[in-house]
Amino acid sequence: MSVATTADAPAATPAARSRYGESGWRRRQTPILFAWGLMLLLFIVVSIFQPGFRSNNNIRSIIDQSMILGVVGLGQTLVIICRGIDLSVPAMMGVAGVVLTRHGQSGGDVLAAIAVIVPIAIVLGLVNGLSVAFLRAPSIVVTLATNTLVLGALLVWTSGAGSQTGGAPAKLFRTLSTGHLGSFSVSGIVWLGVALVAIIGLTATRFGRHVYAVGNNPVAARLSGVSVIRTVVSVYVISALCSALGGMLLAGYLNQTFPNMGSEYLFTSIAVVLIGGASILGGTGNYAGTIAGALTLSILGGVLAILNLGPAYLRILYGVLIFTTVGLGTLLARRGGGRRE
Amino acid sequence: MSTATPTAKKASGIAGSVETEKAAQRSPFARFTPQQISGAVPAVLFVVLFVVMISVQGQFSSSLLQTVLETTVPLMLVGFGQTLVILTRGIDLSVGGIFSLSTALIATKMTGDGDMVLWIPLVILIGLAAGAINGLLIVRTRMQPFIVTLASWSVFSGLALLALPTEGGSVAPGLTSALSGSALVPKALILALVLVVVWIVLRRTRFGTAILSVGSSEAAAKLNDVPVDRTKIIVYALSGMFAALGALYYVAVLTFSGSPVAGDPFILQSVAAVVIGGTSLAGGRGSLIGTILGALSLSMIAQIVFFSGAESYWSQFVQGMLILGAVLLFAVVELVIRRRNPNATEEA
Repeated sequence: MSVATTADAPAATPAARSRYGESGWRRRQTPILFAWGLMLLLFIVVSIFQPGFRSNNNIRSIIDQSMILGVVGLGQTLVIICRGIDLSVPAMMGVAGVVLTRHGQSGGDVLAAIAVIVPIAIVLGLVNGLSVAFLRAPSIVVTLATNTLVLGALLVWTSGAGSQTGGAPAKLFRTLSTGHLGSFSVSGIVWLGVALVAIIGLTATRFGRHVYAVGNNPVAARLSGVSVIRTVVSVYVISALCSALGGMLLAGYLNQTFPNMGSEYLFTSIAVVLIGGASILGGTGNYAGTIAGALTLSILGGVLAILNLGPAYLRILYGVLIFTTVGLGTLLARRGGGRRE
Repeated sequence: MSTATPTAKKASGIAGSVETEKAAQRSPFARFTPQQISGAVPAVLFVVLFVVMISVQGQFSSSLLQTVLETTVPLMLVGFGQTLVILTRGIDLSVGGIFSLSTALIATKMTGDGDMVLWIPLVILIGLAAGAINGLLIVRTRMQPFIVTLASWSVFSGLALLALPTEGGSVAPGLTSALSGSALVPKALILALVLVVVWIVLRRTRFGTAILSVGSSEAAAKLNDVPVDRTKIIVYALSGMFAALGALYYVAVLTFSGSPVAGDPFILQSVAAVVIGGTSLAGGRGSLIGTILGALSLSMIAQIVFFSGAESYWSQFVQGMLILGAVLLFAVVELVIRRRNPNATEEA
């Protein structure tokens, strides 16, 4: 195996070497470039046939729609890079949204609501992460169980009523998810901030390198001194916090909340990560791909709305999109040599 | 955070095999094989919940038995397919889509008794074909089962929405009267027993052995001339077929009408029933009987909550606790196995 390390590669752990090896780097960026290419192509083609599609207003609404998915997808990206999956996203989103509307109508109460939501998210992330990392329980079942558990607790607490009685969420989250500053959407600015932190955090910090190292090969990572347990637990905690933020933003976007409000994010949060070029086997993918994935999904939704096609076609297209992007990624990875089993 | 200690302990466990032996002997599970534990847990759970259910309701009646069994049969059927798939170290998320699609077709096409001749076989065949497509894609493209079946779940549930955009439709009354009620014993009980017999027979066939060996180690299975790809395709096809069968029973006995999203809860519930039943997600080890007990346990919780007068939302909470408890318990069992046998491959 020829070892061509780039300048920014860290000290030569086996995992780091294979990741930063030049051909490996290019191979792994290809699916992400593909995701961006697909998204832009889709956007340009639709804009040609429907000039209104590239209007400032429409672009802003595309960003508003995909930002929440982008925030939730950040957590899912990290978890998937670490060879896991987080199915507890919907429950955490529901808790965050409902608690926000129950506590957060006026300015001061937003902080009170956040003071309730954040500890819940941390506990959920710890339970998920410790079960996966420490007990080596399969993440898919652990997070499925915590999702059922937390959603059940939320239903018990609200007696299933949701928060129609609780009224609209705080103005702050309405503004964050749908407001605009001049011709810029606030959600776009928020998302840009989240994206910068995520991309820098994943590529330029020690934590980010640990995430990839654990995803590439947990045994090698442990032998080279990475605390696998700490990394995996952190990743699940971050994912729960992202879902919590996503839930609060969704409360603002929908202007109402109910326990099952996050249910569709179970599928879409995973879909955007896969479309964004991450491998479910871990170790690859980055947040830029997830951003493209989230934008692609909401552009597709917009296109189908223009064509007057219902949710049935959207589901079919989502499935086809996952097949083609992941299939193509697998094909490229195999042609690039280093086949991953 | 004191993460250093367990890591160090694990490292020393790998280093010295004598220490490993000792660790295995000290553990409370040491006297039992993993097979015994994963068989005993769902059985004990079932008995406990059964006793609780009867004591909450105050008496045992055959109508109670019938209710519990009838509400569980669809999950048992879907769980049968899911068990087979998970035994090969795969997962089938598309059962939800195939179930919904079948439900939609049954409720729109099979409304009169005369339609049954054509549509019962057709629905089963569509399920079989849909599952076979999953299997073929998994085998040919080498994509992960999780991704393939996630994507095909989306496609199939889209097709279900096309066939039946909103809840509605009806089902041939002949099918309802054929499947529901009780002759001498509840018909659902007979169905459950048939499933157990099918499993016991299947387990002893060459195909049954192939499923377990593919799940234990694909490489070893290949070396032993087990037709790995064919086994996988058949397993996913069967999973699709069982999802369609589950939908047939569901519409005929429980809802009498169709819903384009009826299958979605069955994705996670079927995985939950399999896991509570002691089948290992790592493949190669488990039993359908466990899955049936797991499915029954999940629906008995709903009954217990109902009879105890608590709001129905409690059942989801308690079910979540049960799934979490089961998965953590089995995770500990797997850890013990791995510590006994440090050469086993590391799982993701």
